[in-house]
Amino acid sequence: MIHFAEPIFLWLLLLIPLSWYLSRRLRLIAWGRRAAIVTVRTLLLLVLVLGLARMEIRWESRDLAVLFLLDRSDSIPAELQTEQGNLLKALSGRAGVRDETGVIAFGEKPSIETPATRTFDYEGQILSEVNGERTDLSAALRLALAAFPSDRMRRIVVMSDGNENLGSAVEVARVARNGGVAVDVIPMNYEARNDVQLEKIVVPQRTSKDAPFDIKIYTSAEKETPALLRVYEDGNVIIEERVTVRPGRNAPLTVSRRLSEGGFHTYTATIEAEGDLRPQNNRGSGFTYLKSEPRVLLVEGGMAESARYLAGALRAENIAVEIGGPGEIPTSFDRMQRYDSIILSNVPADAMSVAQMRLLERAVHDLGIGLIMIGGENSFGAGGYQDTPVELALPVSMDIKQKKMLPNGALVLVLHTCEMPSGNDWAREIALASLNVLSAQDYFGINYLGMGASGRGGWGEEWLWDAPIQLVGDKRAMRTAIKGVTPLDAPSFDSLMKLAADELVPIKAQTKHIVVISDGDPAPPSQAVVQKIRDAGITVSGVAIFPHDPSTVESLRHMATWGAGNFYFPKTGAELPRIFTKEATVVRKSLIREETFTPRFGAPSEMLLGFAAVPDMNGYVITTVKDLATEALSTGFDDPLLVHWRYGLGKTVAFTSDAKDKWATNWVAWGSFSKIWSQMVRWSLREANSPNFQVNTEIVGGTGKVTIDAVDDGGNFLNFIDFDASVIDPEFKSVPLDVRQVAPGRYEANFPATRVGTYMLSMATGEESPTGSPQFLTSGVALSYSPEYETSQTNTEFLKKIAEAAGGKFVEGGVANYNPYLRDLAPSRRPLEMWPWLLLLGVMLLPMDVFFRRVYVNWGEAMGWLGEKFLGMIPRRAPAEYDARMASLRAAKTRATRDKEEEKAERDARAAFRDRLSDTESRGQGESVFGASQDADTAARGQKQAKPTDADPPMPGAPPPGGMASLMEAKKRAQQRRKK
Amino acid sequence: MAQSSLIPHPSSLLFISVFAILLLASCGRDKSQSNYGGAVAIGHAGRQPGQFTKPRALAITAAGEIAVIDRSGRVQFFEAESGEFIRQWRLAEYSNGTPTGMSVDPVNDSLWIADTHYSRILNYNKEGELLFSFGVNGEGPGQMIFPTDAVPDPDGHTLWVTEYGRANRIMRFTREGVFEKEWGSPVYESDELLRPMALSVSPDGKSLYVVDAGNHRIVVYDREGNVLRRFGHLGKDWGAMKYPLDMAMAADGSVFVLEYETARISHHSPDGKFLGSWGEPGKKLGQLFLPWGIAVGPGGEMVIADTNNQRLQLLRNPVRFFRGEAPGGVASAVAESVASLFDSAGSTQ
Repeated sequence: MIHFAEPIFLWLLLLIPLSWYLSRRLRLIAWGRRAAIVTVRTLLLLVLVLGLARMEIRWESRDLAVLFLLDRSDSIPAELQTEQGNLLKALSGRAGVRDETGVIAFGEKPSIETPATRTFDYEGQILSEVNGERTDLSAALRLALAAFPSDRMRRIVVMSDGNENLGSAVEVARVARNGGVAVDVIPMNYEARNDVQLEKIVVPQRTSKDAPFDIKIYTSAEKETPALLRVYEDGNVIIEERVTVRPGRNAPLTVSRRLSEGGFHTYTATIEAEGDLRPQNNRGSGFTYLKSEPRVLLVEGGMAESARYLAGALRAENIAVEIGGPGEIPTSFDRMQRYDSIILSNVPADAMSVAQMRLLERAVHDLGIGLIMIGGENSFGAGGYQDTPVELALPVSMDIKQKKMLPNGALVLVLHTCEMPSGNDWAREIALASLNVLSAQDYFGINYLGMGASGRGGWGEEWLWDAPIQLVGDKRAMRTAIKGVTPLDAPSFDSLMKLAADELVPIKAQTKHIVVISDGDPAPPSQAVVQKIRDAGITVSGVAIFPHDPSTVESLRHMATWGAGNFYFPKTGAELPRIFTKEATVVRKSLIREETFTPRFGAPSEMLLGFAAVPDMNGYVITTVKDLATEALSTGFDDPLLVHWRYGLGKTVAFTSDAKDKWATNWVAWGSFSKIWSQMVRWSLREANSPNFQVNTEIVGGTGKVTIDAVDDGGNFLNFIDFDASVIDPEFKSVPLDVRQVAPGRYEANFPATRVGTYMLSMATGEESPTGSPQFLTSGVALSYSPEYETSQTNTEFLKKIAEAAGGKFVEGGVANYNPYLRDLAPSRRPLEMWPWLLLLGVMLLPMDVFFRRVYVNWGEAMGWLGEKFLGMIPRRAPAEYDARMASLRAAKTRATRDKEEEKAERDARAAFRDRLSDTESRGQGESVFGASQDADTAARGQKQAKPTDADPPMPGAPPPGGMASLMEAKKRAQQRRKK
Repeated sequence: MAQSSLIPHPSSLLFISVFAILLLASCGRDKSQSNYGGAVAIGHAGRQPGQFTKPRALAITAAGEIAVIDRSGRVQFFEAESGEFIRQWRLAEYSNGTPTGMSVDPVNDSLWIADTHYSRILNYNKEGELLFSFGVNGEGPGQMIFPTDAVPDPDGHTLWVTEYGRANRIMRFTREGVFEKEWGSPVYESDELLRPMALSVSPDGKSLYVVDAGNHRIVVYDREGNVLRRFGHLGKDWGAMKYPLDMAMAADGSVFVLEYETARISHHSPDGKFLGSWGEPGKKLGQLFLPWGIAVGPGGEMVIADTNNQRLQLLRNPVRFFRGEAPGGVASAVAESVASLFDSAGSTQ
């Protein structure tokens, strides 16, 4: 019941007997008062010591809380989910009045649907959204343990098919048991239904031109099923035929193919059967690579025909070129793998998603694909590439540091994002997307209805940073501040836009731009504010997102109309960062410099071999050369024109002017135009895959396995190769691979492969490896469906293990006899910390202690007085001896008072005498000091003796009355002097 | 002599009295935790009965039931006396957005709901049965895009509707949905009326009080649409307001205006004189977080939809907790906590 957290302090209880011992000196005090003092003091000490020892009282609770853990992963089909709901309804209905019920839904991550509550009532729907691609029961159990109210008996009821593919639930179940939490398990059993599965597709990693090769497709089923098989090559159907899938794993279906076009080719197979339990596990993909002539993708962001100059030049030099618009930029690795170099000519950053840019950057870094960016009004910084993955890959930076004065812009974002799902996250994302585009010399401000800087003191229109609109400068501080942006629901744009206009007007910037994002619900700005913004030449764009109904977006459309800006109405939040990148570039057009210049040669470069001079150019985009990059040509205004470097396995080139009839009119007419561009492009091409390596990759049970066989040209094993290898997962994250030699010429590596999508491998050998010069190798493997769909069986053994580990029940054969609310658990103990109360008691006892020691209360009289005063009682007569004692005490007091009065008189007399003495001295009468003093003394004594009994005869030696009069006079004089 | 020994020593006396005050204050503080500013909370975040997801439109019926609509489209009823949940039902449609205004018909105690995002007016009885609905989406006379409030007139047959689609306007209908008259100002062209969010009819039925949210003021019209007076202006001082979104009319004709951004209720006499204010921004009781709705019941009790705090706050005797001085003073805080002590003593739950 009672427990001490710091029992060592209990030794201080010894102070109590000590205090009793010391209280002996109080023996003169009346018994009752002494008892009170000792008691209070003892209590005080006791309370303080118990408080120091952190006394806790533990209550036993027999109340019960039950948390239901519902497996909502993809392996639970819809009908099983319905059954889960029915079970939940039935079981939660068995709760008693005092029982609490809660629900947690889980897949990859758990989510609390309803915290434990007494009023739980299942409404027939689970609203929590969980990622169903994984099952992590352990995370759900951990959340449940954390979410339980501490003062109750606790039970977890798991409803799952037991197909765990993340974490280890058994361990957490043991933890639960130790914590006194019971875990019962209700298995979710699949109906006996057929599942046809495409287990894998095997394609040779490499092939030769026009050589036949086999594609093998492995299928399985529970029972014999007719099915339709389709095989696609690079997205086109090549086979469509009816097959019969037999029970168990089937012999592979084989398709023979031959290829003539070089590059990477993707094969996808699908199998369809009627009444299939899981259609999700019916597809698979594989790649093959055919070595070929270099192939270049030229992406033209401007007019399509303006690509003809460059394309013509490259073709003239026998480089295969594909021309495309920004929509042609590959969105997957296998598509990107078809090219050896990609040229972006005047392509704005917003033409690509962030994921696409990351893909491109990774493709350069890890797959060795070349990248060339050519200038234009939508390239480099003017195209919004600042702080993008593409900028990372390029040899120039979009931030302009060396210039002292730059034409700059000012951007204000007005945020009202709270009405959209995850609105505040989006607010941060778009603020970052805009900030990324801006340079250090631009002005940036974000305003919204916020919580106030202090968090209290009221919400209102606020700016994100201290100065409303601030020079971007070092972006780190702004990035940190952006993390804290939490826009609330603004009722109107009026005050927000008025603030924006007020702050923008005095700023010295070339372009001033406001972007408003909202669901369109707030009231539009007033006419006065509209006029002010228009008068100041500020442009306004409107972004409508997740409106209640389409008509609410009108106010934003209207805003973009009078504000001479753009209006956007994206369907999803995913488009927002791109929109804000584009809008932010409105203030960045100042980076374009259109003046004629003669390019100057810089560092020697193999790209310019054979050239000593190049024609004049008419314009370019201002950038900054990165450290370690080679600046082959500069513009003559101290800005880079042609810069290149190696980036990972790939090579990238920045050409800040263009290759068409705008800035390069002299170049396109120049005889060496083809030669110089083909040299640049050839330099950037990817290195060919090494013929010395044979790679095999497959994914088994969430792990990717890579096997490399290395032989030299003579067929001998290559040993002790040091591979620098990495794998890029479907989210374009690069994971380094630990490649180990396991046999002569054979190497292996593993990587986690739990996400659905393509995994690209890239490997390079070092300079010192037995292959001599560095060798490159790329390969890929796809995980076509989530492991949730791999099995169609309930993992009963696993579920039993969970129940066993946690000491709970495994509920088999229906729940008719199962009641999760049975009080068959150990009662929970709830500790109640006592020290705050003990401290309070101590504070109360302390003045009592002081009171009893310092204040004497005659309780009899006090009561009497109280009775007389308030109850009209006649005071009780005191006994006679008491009266007598009181009388003598009063007499003693009178005497003491009289003595005091006499002393005072004597003091007065002495003072008077001293006064007189000083008077006589000043008059020059040589009276003896001692004599005078004696006189005064005698006078004082006479007075003293004379006072009590006036009738006494004068004492011998008393001064004559005249002396007295003179004394009195002296006193008066002294008093007068003092007054002066 | 005997009495002087009773009162032992002035310093001891002082000590004891300070101690007693501390003790009393700690008790008082403890109570005010659950009763700050005289308010009690009803509900908290959640989807269960009696819980809310952003409660917004509300009204108190003649029978003393609080009706409140939250973002989940539920209309929940609570006992105004005890704050206890009574029943709930759901609006037929709510995915576009939920209503901003709701009023009680004095004739039959039914609910008139301005279904803002569905451009229509709904009339439900308390059991959730749809009695009548009307409304055509459009900009023409009698049509509406975003109706914000629907208020039945005490005359028994008129219904007032405020709307802000393409025009900020006030419309007069019969209870049968027959359009009679409208006035207002077009959106994007005039700032005369910006977002009329709520309307109240004075007890004598002669004047209409309209919340002009975008102009931070209350406009008083006669029944024909002539402006009688305006009061309120943008600001945080007493008498000023910032984004008023709702109002409630007391039986004596004084109005309680709910201010969204300043998170308070200001009390004004019928002629616009500032009488007092209640509430401040925050999350405790007596504080509001971007509130949307207010209603005053037949017994004078006031209920506020403290929207972003996911609860209602109920004041049984509101006016005694309204202040007319600058907030934050020690004196007012002490007065408030003493008042709350007495209030909690007076009304034992």
